[in-house]
Amino acid sequence: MNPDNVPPWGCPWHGLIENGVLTAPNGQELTWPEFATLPYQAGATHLQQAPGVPEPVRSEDEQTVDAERGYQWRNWAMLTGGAPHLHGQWLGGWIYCAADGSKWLVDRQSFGSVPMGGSAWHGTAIAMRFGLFGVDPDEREVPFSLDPEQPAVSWVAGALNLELHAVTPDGSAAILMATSSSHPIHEQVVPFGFYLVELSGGFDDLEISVSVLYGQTATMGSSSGSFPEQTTNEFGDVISSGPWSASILGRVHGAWFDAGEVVPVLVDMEWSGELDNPAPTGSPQGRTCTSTSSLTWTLKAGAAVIDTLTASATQTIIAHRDDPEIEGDQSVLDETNIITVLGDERTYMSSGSIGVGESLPSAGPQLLNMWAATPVNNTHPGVAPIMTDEPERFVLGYVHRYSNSLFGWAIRWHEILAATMTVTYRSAAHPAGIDVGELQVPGDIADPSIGYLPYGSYHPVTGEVTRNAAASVCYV
Amino acid sequence: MATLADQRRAIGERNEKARRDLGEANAKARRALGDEMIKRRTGKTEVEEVNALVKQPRQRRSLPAVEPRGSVPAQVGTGTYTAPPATGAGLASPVTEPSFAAREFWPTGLVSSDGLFFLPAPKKIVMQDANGAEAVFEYAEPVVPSP
Repeated sequence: MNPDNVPPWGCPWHGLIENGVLTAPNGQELTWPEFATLPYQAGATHLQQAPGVPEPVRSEDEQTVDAERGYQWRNWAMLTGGAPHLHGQWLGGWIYCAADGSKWLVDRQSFGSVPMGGSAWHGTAIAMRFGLFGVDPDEREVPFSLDPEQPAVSWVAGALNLELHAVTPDGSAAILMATSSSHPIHEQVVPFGFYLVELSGGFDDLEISVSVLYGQTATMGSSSGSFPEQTTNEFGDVISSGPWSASILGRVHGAWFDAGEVVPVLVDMEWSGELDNPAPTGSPQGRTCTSTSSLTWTLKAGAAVIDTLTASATQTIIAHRDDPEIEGDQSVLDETNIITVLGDERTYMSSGSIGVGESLPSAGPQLLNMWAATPVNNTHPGVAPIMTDEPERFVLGYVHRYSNSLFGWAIRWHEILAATMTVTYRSAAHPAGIDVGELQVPGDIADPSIGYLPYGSYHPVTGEVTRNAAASVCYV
Repeated sequence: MATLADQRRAIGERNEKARRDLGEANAKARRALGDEMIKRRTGKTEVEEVNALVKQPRQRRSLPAVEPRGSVPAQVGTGTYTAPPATGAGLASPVTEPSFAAREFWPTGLVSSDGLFFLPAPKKIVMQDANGAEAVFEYAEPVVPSP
């Protein structure tokens, strides 16, 4: 048997699956099974490549035949979907290619689930000899035990599901992402932890280890806030001046491997500004209060910036009390707010009066909201509003998870008075760089499915990206 | 005695003959020169000389056509069967494999294009014929990567 005389064998079907149909290079269409519950799971791609396997060499005649048949012989395979799957068949894990040449299927389900709030996580990882015909089954069980480093959140109950989130081409390392099953899920998920599985050895000395990559505290990011001290006078007027800032830094939305090193996909949310609410003076008492606010939300891959959302605001309040010695109300209350969101500046002015005995209003931080600190709600987990200046506009910015390796900002811009909705899908990042481009489509306030283009996929070999699709897409 | 007229006539006849002979000689010389020029242009002389040195190829001849005479009429053949000796090396069909577990494989074999699947090459397969006789097939080791 001369291997040079043996034609390549395996799965020659590669390309883009769209809505369950793979189109081969010759135009032939093959029905391809899909395995995903959520949109981002449908686009998941994991490159698997055994070390030392050469690219199949095809003669010109063979290439001609391959082209006619739609074949593409590759020295790699793609795990796809949520389970995941290999060559269109359910696999349920990933493949570890040991240095001694043996291959092992690592059963994802064997890791079980992470007990929410628990201080100990016990389990038994299972690896099975894979891809070897004609020999008896060989299954290895490796117990593990660790502290999953939680909880940092209290609003989620039940066990956390584990999904295969990333894997190195040789399968020697994989990242499992913990998400909540009891948490209401619509289009996105919020990760509550990432765990690293590492394999070493081979037939004689296979080893599996499980460790915490990002615990709950690390995953949720570090929160901080600093505001000037404030006092109140006898009228209840708030008096405060100085800089203010707030931040949630390093919230982990995902992670991928770059040459074996883990690169987290992070979001930094930062707010800062200056307040000036002086003590009232004069008779009748009055004052001018001002505040400045700026918002910067940054999506990053490691230290590299993917995309940034910005907003800013200034607030001016001129207020004087009514002098009870004088007949009639002479109080003054003029407020001016200039709010700029993603370059769109609008000015809001209002006038009013201050009743007898009422305290003077003060200027405060703008654009700061608590949704960002708890990025979970019933319909859009992970969504946080950039700003809410109702009744005119309501802008939501959120990290759009196209797949395990494709992330970008998305904006839902609601013009309340005009009753219109616009959805913007901004640039998205993958392990090899950024797919630059913005797509703006009309949405519908009453029907979230209008303008809903959640599907996307990244090809880890060719670097191709397909995204903002209304139906599932995935590369194999 | 020849008269002067006779002498002049004789001289005239000689001159005429001489001119005629000269004209024929010139014509012969021109023909010879023309033939020589043709030989030089065509290389006829060289070809004849070369042909004289080499062996002339055999002239091909077609075989004479033979009229078909029809097929040989069917005949009944006869023979005498001689049973092989009981200790002979022949295999009696069917030849079966009693135990898959007895197979042996080389550590090398064929790897799928993606490197994830491996078909080991058989090294030894033990078979058994209808008479229970064992037949061992031993195969060469292929030169391909291990799984």
